[in-house]
Amino acid sequence: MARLFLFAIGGTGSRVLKSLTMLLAAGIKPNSAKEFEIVPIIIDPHNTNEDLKRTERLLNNYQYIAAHSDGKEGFFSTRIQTLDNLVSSANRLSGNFMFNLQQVSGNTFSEYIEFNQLDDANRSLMDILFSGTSINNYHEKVDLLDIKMDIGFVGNPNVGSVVLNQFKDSDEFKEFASNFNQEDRIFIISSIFGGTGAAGFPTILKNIRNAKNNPAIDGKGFLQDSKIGALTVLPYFNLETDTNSPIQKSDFIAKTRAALHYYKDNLTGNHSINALYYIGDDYNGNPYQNDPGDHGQQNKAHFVELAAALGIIDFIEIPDAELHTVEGKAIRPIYKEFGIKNDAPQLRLSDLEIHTEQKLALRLSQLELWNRYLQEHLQEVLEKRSWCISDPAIDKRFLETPFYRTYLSEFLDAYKTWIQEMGENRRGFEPFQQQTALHSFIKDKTASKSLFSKAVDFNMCDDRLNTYAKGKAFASGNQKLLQLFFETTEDILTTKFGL
Amino acid sequence: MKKIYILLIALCISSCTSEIESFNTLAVQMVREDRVLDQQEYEKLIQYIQKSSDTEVFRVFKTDKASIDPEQVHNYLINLFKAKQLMISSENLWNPETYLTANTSFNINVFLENSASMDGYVSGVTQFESDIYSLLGNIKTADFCDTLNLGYVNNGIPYRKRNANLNDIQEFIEKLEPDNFKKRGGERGVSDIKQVLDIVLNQLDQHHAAILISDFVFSPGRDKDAREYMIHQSIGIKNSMTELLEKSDVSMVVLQMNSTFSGMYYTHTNTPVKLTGIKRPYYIWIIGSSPQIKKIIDSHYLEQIKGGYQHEWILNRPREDQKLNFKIQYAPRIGYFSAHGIKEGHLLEAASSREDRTKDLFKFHVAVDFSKSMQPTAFFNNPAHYKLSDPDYTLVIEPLENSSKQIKLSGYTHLLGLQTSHLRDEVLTINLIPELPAWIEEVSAETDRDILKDVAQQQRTLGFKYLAEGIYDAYYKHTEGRSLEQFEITIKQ
Amino acid sequence: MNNFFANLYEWFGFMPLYSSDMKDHLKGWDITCTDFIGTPWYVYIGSLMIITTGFVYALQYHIMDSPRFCEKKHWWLFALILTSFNFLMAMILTYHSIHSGNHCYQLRLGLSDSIGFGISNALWSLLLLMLISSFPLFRRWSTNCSYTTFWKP
Repeated sequence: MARLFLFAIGGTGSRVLKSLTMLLAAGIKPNSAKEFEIVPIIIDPHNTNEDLKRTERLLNNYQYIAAHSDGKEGFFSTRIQTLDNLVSSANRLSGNFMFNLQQVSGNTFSEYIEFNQLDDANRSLMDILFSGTSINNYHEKVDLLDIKMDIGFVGNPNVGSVVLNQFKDSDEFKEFASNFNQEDRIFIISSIFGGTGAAGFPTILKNIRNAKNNPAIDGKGFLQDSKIGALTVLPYFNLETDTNSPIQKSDFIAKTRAALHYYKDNLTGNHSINALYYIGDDYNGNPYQNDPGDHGQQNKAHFVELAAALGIIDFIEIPDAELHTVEGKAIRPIYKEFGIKNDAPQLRLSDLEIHTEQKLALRLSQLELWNRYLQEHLQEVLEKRSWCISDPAIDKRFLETPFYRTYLSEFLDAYKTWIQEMGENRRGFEPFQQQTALHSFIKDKTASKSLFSKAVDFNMCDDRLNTYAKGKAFASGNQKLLQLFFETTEDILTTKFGL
Repeated sequence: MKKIYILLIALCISSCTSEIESFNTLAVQMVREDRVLDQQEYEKLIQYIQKSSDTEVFRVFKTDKASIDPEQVHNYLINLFKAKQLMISSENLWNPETYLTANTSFNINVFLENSASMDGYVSGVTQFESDIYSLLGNIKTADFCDTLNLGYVNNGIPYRKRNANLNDIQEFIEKLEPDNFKKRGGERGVSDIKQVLDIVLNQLDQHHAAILISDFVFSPGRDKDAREYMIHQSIGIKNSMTELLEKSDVSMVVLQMNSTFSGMYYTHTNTPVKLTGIKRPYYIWIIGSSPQIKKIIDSHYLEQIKGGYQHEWILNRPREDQKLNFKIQYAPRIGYFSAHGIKEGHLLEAASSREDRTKDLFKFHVAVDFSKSMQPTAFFNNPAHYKLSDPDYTLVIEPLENSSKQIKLSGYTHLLGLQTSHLRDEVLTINLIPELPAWIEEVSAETDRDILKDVAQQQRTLGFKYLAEGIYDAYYKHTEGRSLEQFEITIKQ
Repeated sequence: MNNFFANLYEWFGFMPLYSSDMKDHLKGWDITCTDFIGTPWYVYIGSLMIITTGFVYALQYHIMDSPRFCEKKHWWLFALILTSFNFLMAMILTYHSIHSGNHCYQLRLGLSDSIGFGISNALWSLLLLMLISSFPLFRRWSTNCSYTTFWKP
């Protein structure tokens, strides 16, 4: 199976990765010739970043749940692997999705670059390159060289690029390189207007394309000509004005522009990327709280992240032939942007372009319907409906299994939060109505009903569940829950909602 | 969905009519208005039975798989109409049997015995003449009578008037005078009853019945032992009758009549005694095949004889062709038996009563239809005629009248109650064996020696008992075990 | 057939709920008190009982076959409707036949006989419904009620 190595850099990277995880959980699959499994590698020095922690937890749950999916069609059917899972147990690294940035924790930038041990000339150069101030954990102004790096690069790509350069010498990179096959692909997610992402993206890309010159790694040839896609997130949210903060909305544009200039020469200009996705939003909505990272930057999920995740899917769908690379240069690089049909502050499925809607509507609604059933109805019908009773039983004992009680419930809670946050955000995305009858749970879409067909409600769902469960053999309750609901919700949504 | 459900239930309920119910409804509809079931309607019902798919239920109307028994249909319909409180008389139900019988007629030979002793009955206008006139007049006009032949009989048939019309009858009666008797001849001196009877019996066949009118006084002659003669005659008559009965199914009705008598009476020693204005018995014997006699009896013409008759005695052989129609009654009863088997005359699961009042008793009722019998109803009212195979059973006879409270037992003439305190498995046989009627003894005299003075002797017939015994023996003596009517009831506990 | 239902309704002789006169009437003792050729009520009502029971079973398990009506309380609801119907049907039909004089006059029949027969009929319909629905033989064809019996779920 081919793999997509997905480098998610910084807070934005984590959030896009979270959206992708939701899409994959909903059963959205790239329409590609090959099956891909996703190997996310999160790169963020900001260890305490809440987004990052949430994403990591989410990925763990996903992985556990996906292990019970049959892997062809359905919820959680796309595999997500940690990098260490790819190698034999003897050399295994810690089992997470994080790229371990060396010597970052607790250090200041000057310590990191061993400023004190540099000669004068170099010190002077450093002073010039890293002049300016930033802010520390206590909201005090500090020199850039004295910044503590464990809260990220706080909007300072110049710092980030230095630190992230260690990537090429890391164990993770070596592992990644040695596991990289010709059919695999790489995708890098970063924001252009922040610190970590803006710096990390060119650094990582450069290191991959220059792997040939890296004596420490295997599989150099594959890496040099690998098919690399990247998504760079342009500013898409508003930020509270805080004069004390080192992060300013006004800086976003300037930084973006500067970065784009840089990309023009060093990325796009030299064809080192096969496909580059730009995404951003200039909608002036509710500002985010200005938090430089020390209180655990936790922003509400945003539609742009969802759209960005769709970009990853899109990249996988691009045929190999169009991503041909020779000597580290893409023959025909592709640049893509994302658009919506209606410029509404609160998006619904129908506001999306038809292709997006088609990709999203059915599967996301399936996940929503499944979630609502489990949250609102399952307890009531437990051990009462045929589909629950038939072997393997979905009973009270099943609900106490780690699969359901821990992994699935947590995942679905996260999903609920995710979809709620997107709805609350401005620009928002609110495809579903909460607290409404089931037949109108999708905005703008009401289930058809006639004299001879049943109205969509939980009983009708039970009816379909019973129908689908009838005579089928399931390996386990877990698999039953996944497969049965996927098939049933697909049926209801296609026949009743016309999705 | 609800509508379908309700519809289905309604359908189910409405279809709850068996074929027999539909048959009943059809029959009731046919007679409700006009109280008559005509031939067309009857045939419709027969068609219904024939076409019916429910052979199990309609089996009661059939003798075998295909043939329908009109009698059963008739009886069923009568009962049905009664049960439905439709008062329809049997005559208003078209019945192929009555239709057929109505169309079969026969000839009747009337023989008037004209020995000298008969002169006393015909001198002047007598009861005898008016009786005979009224009887013959009725019979002549009866639909069963094809031709009425009149004649005298003694040692031969000295006079005959064939195919007599009403005028002939009138003439025959009006000319009944001793002179005519003498003129129309024959051996008038001796009354050889056996010979007379032989002559009459010889004339019988399936197209001819006979009526013999005589005083039936034996005339043994001066030198003979009267008693010996009479016994001899009795045996002779018995032999003749037996011979005849072996060949054909002959029945007879003996009517004892009374008339004024004025003339010479010849005693057993052939001594003439003049009797004037006294009452003397004479007899009308009607002899013919059983169906012929049945028709004559059923016509009730005998009851219509002007002066009436004193006694009636009907002699007939057991009916072999038709089973006696009887029916065990479900109720009233004492104890228990299953309704299954009742139809076949079986009392199954029979059990004595357990109630204190009737403890250990077992009683059931059988409705019996004796109407097909030639015997009068009164015959069957007499317990002496019933012989039960189990003497433990006591019998109570209740005649049924159509208009009585037992209205629903229509079709049956008698209700027999049979009770025992010793219930056991058995086949209870009920035989009807006639006895010699008591009145025969009363009208019969051993001697006529004092007839001039003895009123009792005047009103009796010499040796009539011997004559009657001869006939009785011919009919019943040698047919022991073959009773007039018989039916069996199987009792199983 | 008649005997089969007779045995059934008379509880094989162990528990007669009505008089022996009623038994004979139900067997079809005819209006002329002649033979068992009258309306065979046993067969009619017995058949109707089987049909209605089958129908009510089919209604719950196969026609409606709804998750709304697949619990044991619903089973008992259907059973109540069925038994009430069968009770009333048996009682009314026989009582009507008695009342309208369509029976042998020698039989002593009363309302209590009709009620007894109605109870017998209702009980048998209940037992039959229990029987049909207790074994998975038929109900496994049902989508929503394939596990529904009178004791679960």
